[in-house]
Amino acid sequence: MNDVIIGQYIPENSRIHRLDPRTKILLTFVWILTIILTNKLLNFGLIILFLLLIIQLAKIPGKSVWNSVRPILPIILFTSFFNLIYTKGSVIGSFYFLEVTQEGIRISVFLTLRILLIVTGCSLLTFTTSLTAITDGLESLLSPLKKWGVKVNDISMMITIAIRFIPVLSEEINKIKEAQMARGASFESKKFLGKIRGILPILVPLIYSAFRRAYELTTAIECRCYNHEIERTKMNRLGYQKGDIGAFGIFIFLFVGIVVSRFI
Amino acid sequence: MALLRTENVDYVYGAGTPFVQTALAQISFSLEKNEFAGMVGATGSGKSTLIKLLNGLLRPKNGRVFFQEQDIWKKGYDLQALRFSVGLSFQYPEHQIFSDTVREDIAYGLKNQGISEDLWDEKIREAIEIVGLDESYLSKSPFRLSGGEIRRVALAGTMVVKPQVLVLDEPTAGLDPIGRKMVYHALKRFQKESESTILVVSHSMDDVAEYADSLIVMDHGKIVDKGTPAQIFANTANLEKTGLAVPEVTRLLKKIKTAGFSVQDTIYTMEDAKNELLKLLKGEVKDE
Repeated sequence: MNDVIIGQYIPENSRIHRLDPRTKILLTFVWILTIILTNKLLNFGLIILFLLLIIQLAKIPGKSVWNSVRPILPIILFTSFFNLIYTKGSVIGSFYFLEVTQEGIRISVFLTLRILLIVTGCSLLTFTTSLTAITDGLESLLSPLKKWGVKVNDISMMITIAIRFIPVLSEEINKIKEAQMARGASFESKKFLGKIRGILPILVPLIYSAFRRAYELTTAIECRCYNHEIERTKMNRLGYQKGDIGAFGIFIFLFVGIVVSRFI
Repeated sequence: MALLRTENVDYVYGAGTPFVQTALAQISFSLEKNEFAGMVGATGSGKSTLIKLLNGLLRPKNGRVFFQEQDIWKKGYDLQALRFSVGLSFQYPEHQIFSDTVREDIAYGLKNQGISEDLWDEKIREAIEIVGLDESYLSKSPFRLSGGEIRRVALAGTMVVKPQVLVLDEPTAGLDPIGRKMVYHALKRFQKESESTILVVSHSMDDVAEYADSLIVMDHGKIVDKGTPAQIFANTANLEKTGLAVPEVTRLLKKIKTAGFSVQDTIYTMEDAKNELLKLLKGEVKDE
């Protein structure tokens, strides 16, 4: 919990940062689709180059990008290992009862690349877009749903609050943990029951404080006369620029290229 | 021989990320046995970070921390045992309470220390008594107590293991004057009865001036001044540079002196100020 870096906005003034949040949200979906549809090693190479270019343009330090993928590495290694040994096909090597097949290698390499690229792409969205911008973008993208009675304003407010409180609660966990450690608690018990018992001194104060914060927040929101039935206006209104059109163009070109190359 | 001391300690937050921030630079200070020390500094001066280094919750980037002249980061040093010797109470300690009853919460430290249950009752009774509450509280739920009471329960939870050094971060934050007085009385009593060392971190000058034997002034991650309260408060200008002020009573006496009356202006406790003012008043009466 100490170095949660996923989702941390890195303020910068780059071309990518200046894009409209709606563009970046939509393009993140295009990006995911593109990667799922990619099925040639050469194309993966091109996509990686493209991603590196975006990272460079966004002026995001490589270390931050690495930190955002590091937590999921064990999962990737785990799944690709099983893909490697359980896929049937032409055997190219064996080790005791484990058989490595050509298809297995192919699947696990592609899987690894896909997960890595998708995660990096998504963290680029949060690295370059502030939380408020993301919620504004989401609200604007979801607004057609209002016709069917969906309370888009409320949803976006809830998302904002939920995301906003992740770092607050994680800081709170740290504080409580330190306080209990100062009273001699040790959170390194190996026994399962010991682990569960060790969590209670953290969990109870955490839930208690979450409720306390929720009540405080409600009062604060009411004091500012928040009313969900009122249509809100924005201080910074969203607007597409030339850069957005360019970005859409590039991503759609990439997407079409990948789809077409599947049939060649 | 100092009981607890730091040697050129540096600490940095967020090392290796774009959010690096130096919290402490070149901190050296020591605490003697049975000393009542105060640490003052404006918000963000690094006080709260520094105290976490004292019981090994944080590891300094550079420099060393010694307890009883033992380097606490030497290989094989028992940090968990250290935490029973250097008790640490954070800001709003009541936010860390989790038990159904006051007794259970105070016992948490004893349980962690592995003390046999037969001895608990006596120790718990002693601790609750020091903080000025009676035994009837032991069976109550901590969540139903008043702010001042629950704070003292939390304090008892730290005192119950009889730490040799007790470090407290803003122990009176958010309390009313009576609650504040109760907390400091408990601390003074604890210091006397178990011959412990106490370090209180605060930005309330009035509180620390009243109780501390020595003061450490921090500003922007550095120690800018050390000495007895009298020495520190004599230099008002220096103190105000760090965003702090001398205690209210000292300010009052300084003003009286500038107005042309002969009073001592190195006074910083309510009691001394009262005596000084009475002396002045009686003197005035004599002159007539």
